[in-house]
Amino acid sequence: MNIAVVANVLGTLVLAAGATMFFPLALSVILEENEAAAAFLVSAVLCLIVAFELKNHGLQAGRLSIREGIAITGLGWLSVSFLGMLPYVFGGYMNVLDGFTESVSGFSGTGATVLKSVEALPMSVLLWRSLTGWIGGLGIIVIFVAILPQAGRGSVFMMKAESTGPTSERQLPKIRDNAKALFGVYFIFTALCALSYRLCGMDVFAAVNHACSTIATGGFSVFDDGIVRYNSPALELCMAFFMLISSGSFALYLTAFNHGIKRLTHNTELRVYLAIVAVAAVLVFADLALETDMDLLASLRYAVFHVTSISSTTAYVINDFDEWPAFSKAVLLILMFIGGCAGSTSGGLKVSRVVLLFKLTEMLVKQKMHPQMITGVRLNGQNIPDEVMIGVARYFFAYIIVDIVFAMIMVMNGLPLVESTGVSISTMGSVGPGFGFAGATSTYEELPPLCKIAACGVMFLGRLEIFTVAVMFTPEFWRRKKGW
Amino acid sequence: MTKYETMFFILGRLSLMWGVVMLMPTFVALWRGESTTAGFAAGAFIALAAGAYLVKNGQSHRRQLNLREAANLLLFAWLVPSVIGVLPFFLSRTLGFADAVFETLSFLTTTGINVAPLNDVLSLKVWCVLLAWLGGLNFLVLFVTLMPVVSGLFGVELAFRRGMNFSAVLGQMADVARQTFLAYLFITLLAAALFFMSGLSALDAVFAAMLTVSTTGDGDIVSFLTEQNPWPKTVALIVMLIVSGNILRYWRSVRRQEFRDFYANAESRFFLMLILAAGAIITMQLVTYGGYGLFSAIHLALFETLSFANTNGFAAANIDNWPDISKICLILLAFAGGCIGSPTGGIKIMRIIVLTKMLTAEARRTLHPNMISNIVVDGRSLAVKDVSRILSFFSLYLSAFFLFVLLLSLVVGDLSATVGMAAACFTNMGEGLGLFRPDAFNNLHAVGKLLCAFFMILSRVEIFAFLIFLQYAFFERRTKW
Repeated sequence: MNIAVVANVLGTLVLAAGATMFFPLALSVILEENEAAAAFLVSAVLCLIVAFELKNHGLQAGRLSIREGIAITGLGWLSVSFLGMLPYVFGGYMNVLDGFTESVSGFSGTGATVLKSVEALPMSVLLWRSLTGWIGGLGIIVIFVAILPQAGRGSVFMMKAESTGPTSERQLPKIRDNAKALFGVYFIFTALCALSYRLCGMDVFAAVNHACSTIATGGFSVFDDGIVRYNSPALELCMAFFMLISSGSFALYLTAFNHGIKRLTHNTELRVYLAIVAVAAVLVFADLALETDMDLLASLRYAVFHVTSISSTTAYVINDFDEWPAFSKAVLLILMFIGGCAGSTSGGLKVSRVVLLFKLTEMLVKQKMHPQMITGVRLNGQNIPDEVMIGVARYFFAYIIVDIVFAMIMVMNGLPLVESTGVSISTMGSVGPGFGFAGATSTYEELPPLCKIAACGVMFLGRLEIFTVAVMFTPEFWRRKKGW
Repeated sequence: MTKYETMFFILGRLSLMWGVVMLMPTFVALWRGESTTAGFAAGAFIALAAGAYLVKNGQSHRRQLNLREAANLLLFAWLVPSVIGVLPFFLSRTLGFADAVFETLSFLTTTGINVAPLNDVLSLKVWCVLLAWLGGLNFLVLFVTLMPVVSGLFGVELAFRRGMNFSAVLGQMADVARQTFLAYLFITLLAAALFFMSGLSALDAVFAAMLTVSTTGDGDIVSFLTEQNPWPKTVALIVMLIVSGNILRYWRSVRRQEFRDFYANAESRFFLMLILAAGAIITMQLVTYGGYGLFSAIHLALFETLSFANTNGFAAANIDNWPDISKICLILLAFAGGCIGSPTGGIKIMRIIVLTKMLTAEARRTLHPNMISNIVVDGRSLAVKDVSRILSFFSLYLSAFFLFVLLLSLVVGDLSATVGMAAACFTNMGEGLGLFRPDAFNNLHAVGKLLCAFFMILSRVEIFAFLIFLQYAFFERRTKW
């Protein structure tokens, strides 16, 4: 492991994070939010110092291998999350732990807040919150590779370590072009989303913030009551549409743009995802209409909105689903667990993994019944190697283990058992709210400190898909020389 | 010779056996003059008549099973006892249909949730205990006879290094089944003797032994839990420890006089480690918050840990008020279950071992994508095929559990209670730890009871085998080429 090279790239990354702070800084200067302006200025300067220090110790030349790729991704996320909390802390809006949790929650696209009221924050800080979500959504590495020159050969490993889903493939021959194109798609979607929110009646500031959070499937709002205050079915429909879009694979949109819309309609994962959402919406709608005293229209509205909102792991809330019947809650819980498509900004286990798990079972049944048959698993017309299949199943187990461990930590801190499990699933899936103490209408504010720390770790693991982070804890990873 | 003869023959024998067994509660009912006499007598008659008819029709059976027959048999070997078990409850008008089905299956699958008023009706008690004991035996026998043929073992072969003959030939199946039966019977007799010595009356000792060995653990039938005398609990603790292990391995170890084999294997060691770790956590909790003395805390903690790990589910009086962290440990232990080759429910320790080893393998693979890393258990490396089967089993197990929770939530209405009830049924432990009220199952809607009954059976048949059954029954009626 070549630490000097890692330091060099990290330095650039931190520099980029510092540079991003100039957007909210500019806003705070324009709006004359002096306190926030000072906070952003100090944070940005601190970023610069850290960046130059890293660059000083860094080495420009050097080969990036998998190890360095993983180290840059993992440490990059960690350092950017640390620096992201600085404006919150320096402005005096939160203490260090809360600030860090808020920052991690933003970058990982979870969208859970530790604040009781977000409206007390200045607008520039709110913009920074939304920006953290937006940057983390597509992935800091992707944006980094897309925007900065000379990302180098190791970027393929970095992007692999960051990308979500069982396999990662390139849509364009050059990794840099690929990242640029992805970023372009991401940017266009966000712009379209903001525009349509504006047309639905939001003011410009709120529209931009919500658009950032929607496309990144984060779920931050600039209002305490979220979008309930608009009470506008048109806006909610619009939001549901964009949440649905951003839980599909951005790489797939790119392919569809280059090779025709058929790629979109013939994609197994997307079709399964849409089917899951449709079935879940119908089930919740029926349950709400029959079991509660909501009228049909309200049931439909709440069911469609929340099913898309939860399954895309955004978790905007327009009705307190904690009060819903158990069946609807169970449906939502399973949606939190599954999440969106691979290559999207959403969290969770990912639909393609679920599909592959069922295909694995189908293959095993076939193998048992016809022992001479040559079996294999295909997804979207491509053969999936056995190693990948086993990797998927392993990931499933690891995912469950992390869920259980986090739930146990919460229970140890005196939180109720089943609700902890719900919050654990929701945090791991980077959804945000769960049921009960961190439910639809409450925040992570009441979590004990230890749980907040654990939640940060879990959000981190959930976003980087466990093993990228896990290998960093093995001694072998830090060995300077290769063993052979 | 028709294609069903082998099935008829085996199911007929099964039915005959259950008919004979049912004579026992019949005589008890006659002797005590209980109102259930007619029900038991009629039930026994039906079982015997059906058995005789089936055996007669299956006279010219083949000597070997194919996969289709084995898959069908695996399911019917549970359905036949279920139907027979329901008969007395239903015929004697003790219970309604849904209640009778639930009660029968809850004992047959060694879950041990009681919805029948057993108070003073000895014959019903006897029948419940018999159902539980034979249910445990049924599971074990199927596990070593049909399961290897149908589900491709899913980790069974890992537990037996050599000397176990799994085959599709009926004669050899009978041989393995006989060994299993003898080992099971011996452990039960030993347990009964120990219970008797610990101060229970003869009848209670037999009941307690049968319920403990079969991992049923129903607190309504045996009452030693609430008594002051600590010895029966200690005996139960030992018996539970024994039956959490691989019963067939015991048989083989004794026969070959390789007594180190009792514990010197990865599975037993891992199980003991789990028990000790969970026991330590719970002891700490009990001493700190429960106001127990150290010794009684250790005793109680070990008892409960074992009782949940082997899915017995004997619950101490105030377990509902224990701290949540103890509860979550106990529930996780119930999901982990005991060793392969024991009558416990849950996922089974051997599979957990393979799964955890898999995690480090995946971490290694992230760092070295082209590395070939083997999973080694007990000095043997596993084939990729077995590994993927175990992984698939785990995902199936959890998917089925999620589905169960989802369906059950329709009739229960409270998510916490639903999860608790589903866990109690699906792991076959049958204890809710305060997640649901004690009478939750009594008040459950009939549909919910049948649902629970189905999933209890499913976790006993093992989902993969059930899928193969479904595949044959609905999708592959004929071979295509």
